[in-house]
Amino acid sequence: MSFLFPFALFGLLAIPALIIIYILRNKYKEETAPSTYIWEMAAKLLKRKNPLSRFEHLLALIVQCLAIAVFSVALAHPVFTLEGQADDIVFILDASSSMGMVHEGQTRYEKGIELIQEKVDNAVNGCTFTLILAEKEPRLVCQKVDDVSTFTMYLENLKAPTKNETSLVDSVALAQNLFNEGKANLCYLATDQDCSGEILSNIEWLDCSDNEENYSILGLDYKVEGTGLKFFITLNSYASDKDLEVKFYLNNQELGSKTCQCVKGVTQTFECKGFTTQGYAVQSVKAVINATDGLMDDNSFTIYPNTQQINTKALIVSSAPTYLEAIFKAMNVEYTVVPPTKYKLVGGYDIYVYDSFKPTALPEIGASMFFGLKNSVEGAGFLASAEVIPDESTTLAWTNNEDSSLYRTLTRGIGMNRDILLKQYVNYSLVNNFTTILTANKKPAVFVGRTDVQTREVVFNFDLHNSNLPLLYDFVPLMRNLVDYCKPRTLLDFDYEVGDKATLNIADEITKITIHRPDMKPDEAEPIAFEKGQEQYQYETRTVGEHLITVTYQDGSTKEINFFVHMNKPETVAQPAAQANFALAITENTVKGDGLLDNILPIIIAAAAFFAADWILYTHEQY
Amino acid sequence: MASVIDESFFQQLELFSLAVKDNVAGLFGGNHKSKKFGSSSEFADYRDYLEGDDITKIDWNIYGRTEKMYLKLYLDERQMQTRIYIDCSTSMSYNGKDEMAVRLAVALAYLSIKEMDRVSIYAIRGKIVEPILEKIVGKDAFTQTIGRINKLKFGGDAYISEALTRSTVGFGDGRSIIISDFLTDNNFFDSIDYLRGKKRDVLCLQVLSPQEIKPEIRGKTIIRDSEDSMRFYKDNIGREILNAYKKAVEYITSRIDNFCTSREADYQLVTTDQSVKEVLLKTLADKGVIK
Repeated sequence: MSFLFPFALFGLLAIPALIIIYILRNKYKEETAPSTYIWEMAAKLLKRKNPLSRFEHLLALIVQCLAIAVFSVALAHPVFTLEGQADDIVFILDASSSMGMVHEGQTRYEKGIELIQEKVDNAVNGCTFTLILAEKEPRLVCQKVDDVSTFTMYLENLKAPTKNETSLVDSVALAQNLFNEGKANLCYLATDQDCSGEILSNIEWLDCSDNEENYSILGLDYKVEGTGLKFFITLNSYASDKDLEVKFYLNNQELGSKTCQCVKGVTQTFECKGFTTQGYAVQSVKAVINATDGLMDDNSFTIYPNTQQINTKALIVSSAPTYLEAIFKAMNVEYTVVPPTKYKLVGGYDIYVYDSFKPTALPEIGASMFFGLKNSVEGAGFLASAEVIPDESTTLAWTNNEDSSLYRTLTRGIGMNRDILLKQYVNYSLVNNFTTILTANKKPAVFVGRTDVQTREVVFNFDLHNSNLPLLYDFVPLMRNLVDYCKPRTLLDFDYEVGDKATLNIADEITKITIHRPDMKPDEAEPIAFEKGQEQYQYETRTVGEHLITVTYQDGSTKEINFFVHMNKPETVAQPAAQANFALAITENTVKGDGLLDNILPIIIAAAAFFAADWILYTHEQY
Repeated sequence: MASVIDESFFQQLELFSLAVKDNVAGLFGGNHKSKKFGSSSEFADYRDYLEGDDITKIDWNIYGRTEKMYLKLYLDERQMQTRIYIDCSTSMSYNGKDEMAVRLAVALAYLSIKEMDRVSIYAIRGKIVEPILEKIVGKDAFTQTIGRINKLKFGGDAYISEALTRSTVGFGDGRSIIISDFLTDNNFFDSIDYLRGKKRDVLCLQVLSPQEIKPEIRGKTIIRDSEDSMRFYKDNIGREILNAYKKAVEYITSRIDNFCTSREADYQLVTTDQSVKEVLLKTLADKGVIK
């Protein structure tokens, strides 16, 4: 036994004080009565209840001393240790999208929290609580919290399911680590997944499901064969075997429906034939389950083919444009080649490519792309210094600046698995703020940024002929990304999972971007706040459904771009593999802790009431 | 002792007279009709002849028939002899009981005087009855001698029965009034029997103070007896003891009352917080002792 507030034991000093008071009060006072006759008669009439009555006058003192002792000890908050009675409990709370299903006004997630709270409330005092939130990555919310109210606070502050794919397997693995380290010995898994079989080992299941019907479209693809159109749809009926009718749409026009026979809990892909495009180009394809279930968000799926056409015109100033012509042609970029001797700055191009050529002035409209420029160009934002001809080829190095979304965009689709070698290059000193993609001997080799007049520019510090880059596979995606940088397409991907960030490339001519979410009214839209010169905006998706981006340009024209945000891939996809891992191994460290018995509030109340009652009786007796 | 009776009090007393249950027998005649058999012409009864009786009153006719001597008795108007006994023990000196006792004695004496009775007031000390006023007749004599009572001292023991049985109490000649707190182990019941045996009307006035009826003593206390310093009561006085005390008071008073009733005597409890007027005009009048 120990005390939380041992200073309260000083209250025991009140006992000797009380005894002294009693002794002082206990002295007989003398009175003289005309006659003691009546008193003696009264003594004869007095019924003595038991032999202990002679100690009766001490009883009040004894009781009061006891009450003070109990009260003091109770205030000192004694804590009794119950050896091996407490558990170190780890809770795994499924935060998958299906946990957001509402049943009778309560989501499964809320039900899970409620079940956990119930376990916590009923836990023996001395238990510790650890909470793992099974999000996309398992998140250790709190660890070995021994205070119920604190843990409750953690529970109350949990956000709603993130609609991400969950990682129950990883969460269980995290729990296993806690088992191994002796930080937990009991695990509860709060999930709506069916764990009623023998798939759990050393884990207790907190069933958050409500056995409500739940269907989901997990994927959609299509194939155009002539005017024929067939769909590949991936479905799951989680609660029961079900024949699901799925309606298909092309460019928002219904094509018809097909019935897919789903087996409970099994993810199946169905091929649905017999549709025709009627000659229309595919701008969007949508599938909708024609049934109502507990979670409607995942009952539709839309895909937008990357058919965003962008007309890019480039002027190539080069005496040896072989590589450039080839790549621009491959990228369907409309280009014109002029030899340096005939170059004259003219407008009308989106990109001006200067191949080992120094222009006298930079274009004020349109992007610039330099290759192997040996002299500085005024306003370009960088200075050329010495030309370097190494004895051996220099290998370019990726800067791996993954923190930069622009870097990630510029290196999108690049394998980076082959060395890029240089035989000759020029050292540049950067004046403006550039994003460097590749370096040569730690000097910037390929970088992008802005000129002094805020036009975009891409700089290679080498001539393509002095490098093996044009011969590498990475050259194509790299150039695609750089051309996209020079004349950006607003959106490169059109299919996201909830929680993904959509990268919006902001062209210089764009003045306004708004996004209309599916949960908004038709006349509502969410404006995107960006500054002039900002190249990208990361938009975090948080609503399932079709989104519409409206881009407004300087000339007042607008352009609409659709993208679709679908539910995360449900956890059931990974369930067969996960089942085998929903087990926790008991190790030698997995032991119970000591329980604590420190609920002494009733004792305090009882002692106080006892003291008060005794005191009232005493005073009533005396006065 | 301060003057116990004032003029206005006497005026109030004028309005009342002492009630007498039986007919009175007085030596000098008075306002009471006595059962004392006298020499008037109205025959009342016979009784056995006793040595010393007037032989002229023997009914010789009956003697002739029965050879037994009986006296013929006649009703007569007689003067009443009122004897008032005040317990002068120490216990009576507490809480104004002495004052109340004197006031009652004087008041009752006065009422008797008003009835042309002979009045005597005695103090009971130890085993002796001390006369304070004796055989006073008439208002003048009363007013001249009543001042003696102010010199009455209270103290010591009082053995009521022994004192009374040793004294001359008369026979059938009126009322005997005993004023005491009766808080004693000593036998006082014999005195009542003795007086009743003398054919006297008896009135017992028990004088107690409110402090004795409902004591305010609490806690651990040693209570010493005023008449015997070696005698004491020691206890932690609480609710339970006080309840027992209350029962003891009820027992003591009812015991005297019951005894008096059984002996055709009157009994009245008087408390010192009562006024004499209240005792006489209400309590005793209600009881029929005063009419």
